[in-house]
Parts: sequence; C-alpha cells; structure tokens
Amino acid sequence: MNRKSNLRLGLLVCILIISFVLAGCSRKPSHEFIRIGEIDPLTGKLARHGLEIHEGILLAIEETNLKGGIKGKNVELVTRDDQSLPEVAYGLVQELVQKEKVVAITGGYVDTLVAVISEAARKSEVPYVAAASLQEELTKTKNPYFFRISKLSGFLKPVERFLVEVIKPRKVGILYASTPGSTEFATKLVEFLKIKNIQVPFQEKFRTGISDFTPLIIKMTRYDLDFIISGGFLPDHLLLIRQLKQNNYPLKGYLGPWGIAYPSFVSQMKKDAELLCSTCAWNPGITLPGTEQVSREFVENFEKRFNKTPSTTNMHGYTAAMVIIDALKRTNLDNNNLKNDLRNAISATDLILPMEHVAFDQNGDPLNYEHVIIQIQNGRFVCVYPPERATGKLVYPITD
Amino acid sequence: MYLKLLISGLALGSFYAIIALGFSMIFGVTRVFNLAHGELLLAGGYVAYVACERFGLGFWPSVPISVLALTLLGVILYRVFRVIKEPLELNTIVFTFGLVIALQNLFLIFFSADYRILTTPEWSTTIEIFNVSFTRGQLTMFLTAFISVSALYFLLRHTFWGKALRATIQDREAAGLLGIDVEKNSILAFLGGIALVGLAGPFFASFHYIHPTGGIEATLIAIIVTIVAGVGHVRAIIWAGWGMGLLENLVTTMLGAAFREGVTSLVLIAILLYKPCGLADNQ
Amino acid sequence: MALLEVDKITTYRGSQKVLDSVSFSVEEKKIVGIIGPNGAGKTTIFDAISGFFKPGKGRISFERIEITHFPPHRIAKMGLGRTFQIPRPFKEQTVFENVLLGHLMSRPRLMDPDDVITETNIILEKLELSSKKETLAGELTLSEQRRLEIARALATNPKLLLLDEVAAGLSPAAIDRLVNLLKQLNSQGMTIVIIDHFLNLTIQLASNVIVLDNGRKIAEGRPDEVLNMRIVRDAYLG
Repeated sequence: MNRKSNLRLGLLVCILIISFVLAGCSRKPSHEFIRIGEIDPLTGKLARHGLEIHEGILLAIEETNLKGGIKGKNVELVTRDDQSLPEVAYGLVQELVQKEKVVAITGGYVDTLVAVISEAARKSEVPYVAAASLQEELTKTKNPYFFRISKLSGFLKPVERFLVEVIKPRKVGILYASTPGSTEFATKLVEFLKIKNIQVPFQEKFRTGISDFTPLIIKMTRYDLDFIISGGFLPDHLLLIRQLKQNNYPLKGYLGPWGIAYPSFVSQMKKDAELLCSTCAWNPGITLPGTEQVSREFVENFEKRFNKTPSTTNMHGYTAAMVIIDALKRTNLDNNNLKNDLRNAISATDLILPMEHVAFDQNGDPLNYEHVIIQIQNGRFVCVYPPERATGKLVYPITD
Repeated sequence: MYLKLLISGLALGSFYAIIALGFSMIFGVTRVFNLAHGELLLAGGYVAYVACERFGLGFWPSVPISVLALTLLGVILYRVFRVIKEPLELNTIVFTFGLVIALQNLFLIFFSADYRILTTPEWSTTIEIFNVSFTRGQLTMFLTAFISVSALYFLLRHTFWGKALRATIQDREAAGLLGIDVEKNSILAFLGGIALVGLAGPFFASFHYIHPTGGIEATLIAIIVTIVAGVGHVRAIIWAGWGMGLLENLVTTMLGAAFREGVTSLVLIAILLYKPCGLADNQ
Repeated sequence: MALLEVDKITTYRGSQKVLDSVSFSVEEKKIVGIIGPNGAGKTTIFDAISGFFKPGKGRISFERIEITHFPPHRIAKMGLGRTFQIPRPFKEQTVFENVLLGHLMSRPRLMDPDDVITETNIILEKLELSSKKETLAGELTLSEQRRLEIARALATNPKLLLLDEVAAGLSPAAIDRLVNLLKQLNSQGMTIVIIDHFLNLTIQLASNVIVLDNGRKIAEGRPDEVLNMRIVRDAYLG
C-alpha cells in the first residue's frame, strides 16, 4: 500500500509540475479566475461514482463560464483525487486552500470521505458543499463551513411512507451493506417498521463487493417475505438480483435505494432489471415540478459534453457546484474575507434546481431533499410514488 | 436446506478454484508472483464481454476467444518477465503492480468505469439429478472446475511432458542436466497458466461482475486458494476452493454474512501458522 | 583423443575470481580425479562444463565441439551426465520417475516406451534402488539419494560422467561397491571425472589427477606422483 501511494504521489507531483509549467507559459495570472476546489474519489473503489460527481461539477462550471462567468470573472475548477482514501482526502483540503487559493470546495462521495473533508474545511475555514452525504451525525457537529445537498432522511422517509401506504407488507426482509450510510438507513427503517407492526424476520449485513449471496438467499427462502429492501450498491444489486433469479427465488418486490436507478444498471441487467424499485432524486424523466425546462437543458448539455445520459449522481455534482456558483453571484468578490462572505451567502441559499429546491438549515442540512420511488418498467424509470408526482402505476407483486 | 447450501458452497468453491488455477500454475513454474492476476482475468472477462455483447456470440464461443487473446498477451508478458532479475519473487511483485495500474487505466479508457456483467439467462434453469436440483450455472461451474483441475492433474502427473515440467518446477538446473529444455517448458507452462486465466475471465464476468478496479478481488481469491492448497499442488486447489466455499456458506448461514470475512481470515491465519506450505503439504 | 577440453577458463563471482585460467583435458575412456581443498573451485568447473553459466573467459569443448555457450539440456543430450555434491533429486516424484526422466529427455523420441521402462529398471537394479522404486525421492536417506543421483545421470546414457563427491559419507563397504560399479562402467567405455576432496576414490580409480587450489591448477599427473608433491600437501594442510 505504501508503494502504491508513493507511486501515485510521484505521479501526482509530476502532473503538478507539468501543469505549473504549462500554466506559467500560456495562461493569464490566476487572480482573474475564481477558483473552486473539488475533492472526489477519482481512482480506487469509489472511482465510478466519484467520476460521475466530477462530470456534474465540471458541466456546472463550464456552463457558467460559457455564460460569461461570475461578474466577468471565469470560474476555474481545481480537481483533486482522494483515491477513495480518507487519509488522502484530509491533506488535499489544505493544499487546495493554501496553495491553490480556492474559495470553496465541493465534491465528495460516501460519508467516510465527506466527514474528513468537512473537518478539514472547518480548520481551513473554507465553505464545503458536499455532493453526496447521508449520515445524520455529520451535520450534528455544528460545523459552520459544512453544507450538503443530500441527507439520509431524503431516502428514508419516502421509503417508509411507500411501504406503509402502498405495499402494506406483513413481512419485510432487509439486507444492508456494512457502510455507515447503509447501516443507518437499515437501522432506522427497522425501528420504523417495528412501530408500524410490520415484521422484519430477515436482517443481514454484508460487505459491499461480496461475491456470493446464495447462502443468504437460501436462508431468505424460509420466510415468505412480501418485500425486500437491499441497501447495497450497484454491483451488489447486479449479483443479488442475478442470484435471486438463478435460485428461482419467488420475489414479490425489491427496492434498493442506491445503485438501481442508473441507465448502466438497466443496460447490464436487461430483463432481470424489470420491476425493481428504487428511490430517485432526479432522473432525465423525473424532475421537480416547474423545472422541466432547466432539467431538459441540463440533459442536452450533458449529452453533448459527455456523450451519455446523465445519472442522478451527475446531478448531485451539478447541484452542489451550482449552489456555490449561485452564492458567488451574491458575494462581493473583491472582499478580502471572501471565504467567510461566501459561507454566509451559501447559508442563505434559496435556489430551485431540477433535483431540489435548495435551502439549508442551521446545520447545513438541505431542507427539501426528498426522493421519489421509481420502478423499472420496460427498461424505463417510472415514478410510482408519491401519487402527486407519479408517472405510472406500480406493479406489485412481481410474481403472479 | 443443507443440501442446497452444500451445492451452492461447492459451486462457489469451484468458482474460486477456476480463478486460482492459472495463478498457482504461473507462480509454481515461473516464480512470478503475479499481482496483476485479477487484471488479466478482467482482460479475459472484457474480451468475452465484447464478444458477447458487441458481436452477439454466446458464452461458450467467447471462452476460446478469451483464452486465445490472453495467450497472445502471455507471449508478450513472458518476454518481459524474462528480463526481470533476481530476487524474482520480489521484483515481479513490483513489476506486476505496475501492470495492475496500467491495465486498470486501459480498462477505464476502453470500457469506462461501469460495472459489466455477462448475461447468461440459460444458467438459471434448474436441472434435477437424482432428485437433487441444481441450476445450470452451478453445474457448469462445478464441471468446469472439476474437468480443468483433473485434466491439469493428469497432464502433470501422468504424461511425460508433465513429469518433465514438474521436474523443471522442482529444480531447473537438475532438469537441464537430464536433457530437459527448461526454457521451452517454462514458456509452455506460463502460457498454459495464462490460458487458464483466459478460461476464468468469462466465468468471472458471468458469475461475478467486472469493472476496471475489480481485479483485486480475484487476485486475493487466487492468492488465498493457492496458499491454502500449497504451491504446486494442483489437485489440492479444488479441495481448497470447495473448503472455502463451504466454509463461507456455512458461516454466512449460521452466523450471518457479517462474519464471513472474519472467519475466513481466521482460518487462513491458522493454516499459515500450522501448515505454512499449504494443507496438501505432508511435511 | 581428448573427449573434453577445458581451455583457460576464468570465472568470477562478483568481482572475485573463482577460477583463474584453468586448463585441462580428459582423454576418452579414462577416469580423472579433481582434488583440492575447500573453495578451490572444483564444483564451479562442473557448473561451467554443464552449461549452468558462461565462463567469463575461455572455451570448453566436448567431442571437439565448442559447448561454452550451449544451454544445459543441449550439453546433456550430447552425452554429458553429472551429479551434484549435495543430491538434488526431484523430491516430489518417485525414484522411478526421477530416473525415467533422464531416459526420456536425453534421447530421440523414437524409443519404445517398454524399452525405456526396462532400461530404467536395469539402472535401478545396478544402483540397488529397485526396492525403493515407488518411494518419493524426498523420502530417501542421504546415501540412497547419492545413488539416485548416479542412477539419474546414467539414465541419460552419458559418454562423460561428472561425479561430484559421490563417495562422501558412504560406509567403506558402500565405497567398495561404488568403486566396482565405476570400474565396470569405465570398462564399458564410459569416461568419468570425479571430484574427490577426501581422496576416497581417486587413488583406486583415477589414472590422472588434477589439483586445484584457490581457483588455479597447481599440479597434474599420476595419483601417486601428485600426492607426494610438496605443493599439493601444502595446499591440503592449508
């Protein structure tokens, strides 16, 4: 591992040196730019989603510059890779603030990384808008520099209401990954179901990336479950669903809050993805009422830029970056305490974006982040809950 | 239920054995500690993926293509490995680590970071043999592992070439004295090992999933199975695979999935302490 | 005619000279002894002849063909057999397989498998290993392993046999049997070179002795002559 980080470090240093030299040759001095930092897992085990966040952020910055920047100044994005490692992420904040003179930081995927970045941001007194963060305790630390555009209850509440109001199950099986977010989600859901007198006879924690679910499936077969909630990530769903089919498990209903509402999931699973449910904050077809126009433009620009359909993770990155850009527009850029002013501006955000109506509470938590429930029908994501946003009818149970 | 567990454990163990076979062979013969085993396996998986998804071939036609592609890659790799100086084990770790990063980035460029999976819906059908029901997938896994291990075992134990190869593995100089062309044997064995990696690739893409950084898991499985079996013990690989598969299944069912890795690593540590040369070693 | 010619070979280990311009030749159907104190470079000569490494300088010819740069298996196939000072059997294979391999690999592929098996059995008989045929070579005693080394070398049907300390640690009775065997092989036309630090075999067998000290050849001649030379005695007494 040491060798690995040394190697990466070496590479990083080389790239840094080259980019400094290049910057010195051709670019204008950097004070004409407003610099925003980004820390994302671009390599390592979270690289896939880290890259998606990065694309969203990149699009937001490029769009802004195309429209003339902020008060005539262009925005420059300084991206850093934390290699999916918290210890790397921590050091990057300081580097971005002191060496790169960024005024704010965004990005971040998974709470272990976000928590570390937010702590470092507090130390460096730089506002940090996290793109994907869930756990409640992160905002309990009263960190004035920490904001996030997502939270766990945004997933949890709709799932709870969906189960009680629509599915009305007797027995629910819950599988969850051993990550903090997934564990918290499962624990809270179990508590809630208990209060509502719904049985949870099957509860299993697994390590994400596990290569065989068969024993769990065999065990699951014993309890005639009405609905399965799986808190794994995309690859876990790939494997679990496939093995459920291979073992001819009589699946009635399946919901995974993470990793299912992705085009790449559907394209890999093909027919096996049919009728699975997920939660979704935004999707090309599912957007906040009133933002249809903005959402369409985002999809078009994204497709033009990256040659693929944007995912909800892309949108998280875009939203986080847009919050900073919007706040910068409301800030006096010549102020010598720019970072602090910017923090106050972010705190006062009131911005309607396709994914959410962004506004923060005192702890930096988003006030209006809430998912809808979708079901994959004929390869498309159909919104089935809440009724006021539904675009189709739920099919339940799956097996007739 | 226990019968079902037994079957799924054996299927999983067979899968482990298939993954480990090539690693064990390459390490045994050339002493190359191939950290890039998983990435080479992924390369085979991606080749099969392209064959299946882009050219519409089925799973089985994609297997020889993957084997062939990897063997060609093996010819190049062998030339590189020959240049590496002693201490071989250590230096190959460093070199193959570089290979890991290079391959990961190549995958990223050509296949993006998406998770890919080979669809083989036919493997979900159930087959009944003596009132015991298997899925086709489990049966395929089981037979592939059994046949490839048996074939390799037969080749090494009961053919003249195999005997000469085993002699080469044990003592290159002494083998040379008997007129055995050590160099030729090494390259054949290395290519054979790589071909086995090519065989495992499509299975990995089908029973697991592949993504650019997913090789490490296969490498770990291969290393663990090889350690448990003992280097050079071909037949023990399938026993080690089955043992691990059954153990993991039992632990998952009895104690829960959260205990799986813990118990497996405890068993591994115990083996390393009491049988450092592997279970098959009789010393 | 000289079967083996070693012409001024010099080898290095790191920057240190192990052999310093050593030359000698071995006539056909002779038994030659190589003696000398520890570290004199005796085994290194064998290693160079067997093709394990290329000497830094000098040439080695076998049957008038230069073999200095040949790989070991080619040299073996030309009819050069060799044993190791510390036996190196293929431990995970049976005694029979060990000998069988020598038969198979050193000859044209046309041999009838039955003949191979018969010949293997004859050699095992000769070296009193028949009863251990199916034993794994790793389970043999040291003296059995020494005999297996010879058996394996004989299986390649060599014209020239290089024996490295084959008598070390054997009982006097066993040494007698070994001497008889070597005499018999020699009378059938086999040329033999023996490294013999303890002089167990040289006096009884060798017609010619080469003395090495510190990588140099310091004497050569008939055993009785050479052993009486002062320079040889000094070398041995250190």
